[in-house]
Amino acid sequence: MASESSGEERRERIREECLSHIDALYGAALRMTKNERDAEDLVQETYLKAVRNLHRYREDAGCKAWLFTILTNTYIDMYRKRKRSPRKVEFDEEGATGIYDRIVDHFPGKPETGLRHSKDDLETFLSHFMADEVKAAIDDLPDIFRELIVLRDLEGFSYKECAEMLDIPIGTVMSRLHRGRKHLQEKLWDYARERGYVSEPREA
Amino acid sequence: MVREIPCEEAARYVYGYLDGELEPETEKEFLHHVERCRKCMGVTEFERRILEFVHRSSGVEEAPEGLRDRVDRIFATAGDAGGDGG
Repeated sequence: MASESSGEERRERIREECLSHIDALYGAALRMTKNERDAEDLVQETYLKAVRNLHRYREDAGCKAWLFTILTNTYIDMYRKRKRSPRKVEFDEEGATGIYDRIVDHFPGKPETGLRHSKDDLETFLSHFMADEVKAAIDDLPDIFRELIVLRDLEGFSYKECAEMLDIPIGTVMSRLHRGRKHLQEKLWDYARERGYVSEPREA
Repeated sequence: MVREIPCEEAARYVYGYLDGELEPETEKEFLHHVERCRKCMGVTEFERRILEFVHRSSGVEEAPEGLRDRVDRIFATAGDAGGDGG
């Protein structure tokens, strides 16, 4: 009798813990699938698998990481498989260098600080963006970069956790994250230019 | 003595530093360089602010009620089935 009720308590505790991550899972699913219906399906499928695999759940290992591992694997199975090899994209994105120099050139900086740009210049640049525009820029990224931006920059998982979730080496996590972030910066810059927040000098 | 590293090497450590993922020795070398190099200090600060901005902007999404209900039912159904064979 006693063991039955403690089993019950454990199950209830796990249920509550699992449910407490539903908003984070849905947010990540939304960024990964880029639409609400697929995101709902993905989260539902994640919980179905989680419940089926509760015997593998270890409370000390971290419920959120466990659920995100299932979510990421399910996402890759359900959605990414449909697409062609990402090799071409990987190659094409090689050149992203970020926008530090462009920001520095665009805002001539404050001579008195000795820095080539001031914090306020970057703040001015960033202040133009609405949250939805940043989300759209993330959505625009190729899958392999977007996944990592979601897992690391939005959800805060470590390189090691990201590597385990995506089943790739840590070195690959680092290089994709690097390129993804630079690429995202360039997307923001492009948005800013399209909307006239910044004007880029014509090529000489 | 901390090893002196050139700007190109420091540039490779910026994200690792901001992500808290550098080995202690590497972090020491990175900080030693950045404290003496305005350009690298500027780049690091710049990257930090962009990362914070992206994190902030991505905000918190709320799972729709319908999804919440369906997930609740998933757990309820599993409970009823009495996974251990009752």
